[in-house]
Amino acid sequence: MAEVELRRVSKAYGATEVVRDLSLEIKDGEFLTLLGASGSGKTTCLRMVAGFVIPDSGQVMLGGRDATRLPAWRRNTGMVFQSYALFPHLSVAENVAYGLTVRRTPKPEIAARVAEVLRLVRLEEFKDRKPAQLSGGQKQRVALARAVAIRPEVLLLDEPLSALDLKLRGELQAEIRRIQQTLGITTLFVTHDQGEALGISDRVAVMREGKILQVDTPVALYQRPASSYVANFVGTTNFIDGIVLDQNGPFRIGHARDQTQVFTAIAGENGPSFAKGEPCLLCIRPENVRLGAMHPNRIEAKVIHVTYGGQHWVADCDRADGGIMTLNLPAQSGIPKPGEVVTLSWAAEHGVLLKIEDRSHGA
Amino acid sequence: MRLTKILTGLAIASGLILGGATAEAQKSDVTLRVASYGGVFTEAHKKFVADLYTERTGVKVEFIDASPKTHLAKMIAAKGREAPFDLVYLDEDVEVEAVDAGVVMKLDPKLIPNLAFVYPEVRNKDGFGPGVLFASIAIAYNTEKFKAAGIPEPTSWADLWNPKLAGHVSIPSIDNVMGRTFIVAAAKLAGGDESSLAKGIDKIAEIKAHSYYISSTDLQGKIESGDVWAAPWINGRAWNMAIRGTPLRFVMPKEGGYADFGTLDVVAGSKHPAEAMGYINFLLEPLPQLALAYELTYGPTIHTLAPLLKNYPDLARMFPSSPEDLDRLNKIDWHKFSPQYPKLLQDWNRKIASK
Amino acid sequence: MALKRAWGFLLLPALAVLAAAFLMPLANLGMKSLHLFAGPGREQPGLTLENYIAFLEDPFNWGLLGWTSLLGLLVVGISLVLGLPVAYFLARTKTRWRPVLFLLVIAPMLVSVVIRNLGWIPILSESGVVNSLLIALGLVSQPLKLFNNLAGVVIGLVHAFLPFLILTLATVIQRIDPQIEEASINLGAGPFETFCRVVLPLTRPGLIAGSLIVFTLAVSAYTTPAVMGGGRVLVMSTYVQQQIGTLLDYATGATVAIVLLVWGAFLSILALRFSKAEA
Ligand SMILES: Nc1ncnc2c1ncn2[C@@H]1O[C@H](COP(=O)(O)OP(=O)(O)O)[C@@H](O)[C@H]1O
Ligand SMILES: [Mg+2]
Repeated sequence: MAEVELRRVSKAYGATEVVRDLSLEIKDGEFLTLLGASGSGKTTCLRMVAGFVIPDSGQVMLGGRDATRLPAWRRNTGMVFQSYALFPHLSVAENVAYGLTVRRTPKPEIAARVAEVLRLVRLEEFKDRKPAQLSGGQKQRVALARAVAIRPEVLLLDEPLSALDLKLRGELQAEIRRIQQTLGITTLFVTHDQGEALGISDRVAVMREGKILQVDTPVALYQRPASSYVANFVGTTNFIDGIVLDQNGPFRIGHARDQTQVFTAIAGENGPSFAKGEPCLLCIRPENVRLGAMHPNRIEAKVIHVTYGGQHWVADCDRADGGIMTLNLPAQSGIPKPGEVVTLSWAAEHGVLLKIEDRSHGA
Repeated sequence: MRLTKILTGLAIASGLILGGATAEAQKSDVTLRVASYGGVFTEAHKKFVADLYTERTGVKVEFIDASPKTHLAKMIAAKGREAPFDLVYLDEDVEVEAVDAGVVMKLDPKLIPNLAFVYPEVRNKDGFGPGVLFASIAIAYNTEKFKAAGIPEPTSWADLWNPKLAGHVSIPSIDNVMGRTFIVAAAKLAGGDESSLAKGIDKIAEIKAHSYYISSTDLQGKIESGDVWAAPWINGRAWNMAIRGTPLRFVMPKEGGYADFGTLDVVAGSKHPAEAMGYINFLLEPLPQLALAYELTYGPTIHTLAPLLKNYPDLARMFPSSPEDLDRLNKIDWHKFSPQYPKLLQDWNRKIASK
Repeated sequence: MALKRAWGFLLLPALAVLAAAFLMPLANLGMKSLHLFAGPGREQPGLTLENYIAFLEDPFNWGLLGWTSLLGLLVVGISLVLGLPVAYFLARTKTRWRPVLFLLVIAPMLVSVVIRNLGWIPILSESGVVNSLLIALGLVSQPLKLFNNLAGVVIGLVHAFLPFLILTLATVIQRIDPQIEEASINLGAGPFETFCRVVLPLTRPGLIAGSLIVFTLAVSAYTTPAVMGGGRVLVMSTYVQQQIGTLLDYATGATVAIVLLVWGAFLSILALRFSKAEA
């Protein structure tokens, strides 16, 4: 096990810069996830660690040693591919033994190790099957077993669950986490699914256009997003355009349209500083919005529709400023009818203040 | 090159004159199918024989190109049914097989008055197709390579066995008429003749040959590459190469070269025997004979041209052109050769082709 | 089942064409081999196995069969050694010149056999490119004999049939997920070891099919052995050609052809069996 570090790595294909001056540290035994939209450069970063991509500049450090120029087959990383990439001509046991066989490990040792790893992924009774005779989830567990069998310095997983159905995905996610914890293995996980990222990781790095926007624990990332992009990408968020009225103590924010409407808020994690009169973005998570005027920050809105979301109701409401406010209502509570005009409110500490520069977050 | 123009002029003129004179005959709707060798051979025959014959008689001519053996195979296969062609050019030895197989017919001398001018030795004794082209088989060698290696000009067939030539002699394969001829030459060298040909194969096996060539085109490539310095070859192709600038000389060994006749036969079962024999007669006229000699460097088989050719020594030395030339060349009795051929082939395969 | 029968009916025309194009000449050949030779282009009436007995009784013919098989194996072996890396490269390269490269590979297939063989003369002759190079580099003192012998035939046949092997292999390799190779490299196998442990076994169907194609083509080719062998490489196919072409002995020619066919079929079945047993 070891720590892994990307130091100011860049990579361009032709004129397209895919990774730009990116630095990232994964601590020994840590489970770190690269989260980002498709094409943001996650795979490229992962493959830099594996040695399949050589950065144009910067360094790749594995266990404290510079591995930038080390060929992939000398790196001792364990990779799990989205397509499983099992060897179709080898049995499950032979697949798992592969890395040990090429390392010329003595036969008895290989057998013991294969048995141990197969037990870990609960596939002992499948050891003689060929990959074609396995289900998707089983295949991915073999791939995982194969990768950890060589006791790699770092486990690399590139969207390992995206080919599986929802239920299996949840199961395997837990499985991966369990195995990672059992082995205490340093892990770099790549996904575009924020739920997956938050659920499995010690820390999550959000990537966009070849850069890391924010690295944080799932909780911090969710509660204190550093940018509207992150806020929007991780979970659902309500935004209100505002203007900073007063930045002493808790911020006082005036509504951009109607500055007599005033909200109080705090800045994001290591929050940026704001000047008085500066336009800003106020961001409130749906589960922090309440129906009724129990909190000091209030806004009027008309209910569009209410849908049932399992643990709670989800209500979408039209605001007077044209924006939409989404809130979660406890499952057992009464629900407003569409068309009804309601007052929504939230606590000051649930309003996260963000810079306005960055609003190209689509949705 | 001067002669080409004269010949072409003559050809056109004769076509015009004769064509005009025989306008009536031009109504013929007969088409003769002629089995030929292909390549320049067919081209020359088209230009100096077939086209003129059509103009004179109105009989159209169509060529079908393949090797004599292939023609023979077709004729045998079609025996008793409609003949695949009306006329067929063959090698002398293949003609013997064709006669044996009964696929060619005896000619009517009345329809071919020009037969009277053909060298008696070249007329078929049994009345089948005569020789119409006269070639000789002797030794071709590369003068520069010989000089560089300090080897004197070959004067005997035996010189091909010279150890200094080891690896640089190409021998014609038994599959072609040159190869079959060379087996006779080798047998004679070993003290035998047409009736003891196995000696020839044993003798040939002693040559440290570069290769056993399958066709003149094949040999030409081997000579051009510089690997082959000497080979038994046929005059026409050897002189052609020499004229184009290869330092090649074609020499008669003291034992004599070998005569090789191209024959022309009427196919048994032809629906147009009279027209076919007319074609043979026309081919034996001096103009086509001279033109073909010039174009293909194969000699005429009529003796009437001999005095004329004496005036063109540069041309005449390239092919047998006189009764004296004919006398000097060895002639092979293919009737003796043919029955031994299958056995010879076995011998050749064992002693030469698989070594 | 019903569906299968319907398909069977649809296949009838194709089967009829196959029978006409393939089986009838074969049957004809078989019949010819059962008659005795009776002079050029003629055969005796009455069926007999004499020709086969005569063929099998003569050790020379066994030598011929062995020699032919050896030639086929040599051509297959050399083609594999040359073809595998090329096929792998073609299957994996991302260069935009790929179509051009494919065209280069199949180029020999587009040239007539005679021209193709003529092209070798300036390259393989004693004063040719290869020998000049070898002598200039001091690797040999005497020019090597590279054609007009078995070497020439092998070179000519490899050149002619390598494209078939490369195309077959490239198609199979292309279907192997490149990530499988990456998985192997990731697990510590170098590129060569990955090739041997992963690519080769997965290319097996292509290797077997391609080798069979090349073997069959090599043992049945007759122009190249005739031209490149300089008249001293007699194999089954040239023997057939000789018997039929110059002796007009269809009986012997057909017998040899059938023996070669049966031998080839036997080897093919053996190869397929072997490959199934291993898979
Ligand atoms: N080998 C390559 N050649 C050219 N472009 C590439 C290559 N690999 C990746 N890219 C491009 O780089 C960008 C980032 O790719 P990738 O790292 O795979 O993103 P992600 O895994 O986040 O979806 C994409 O636009 C992709 O098209
Ligand atoms: Mg990706």
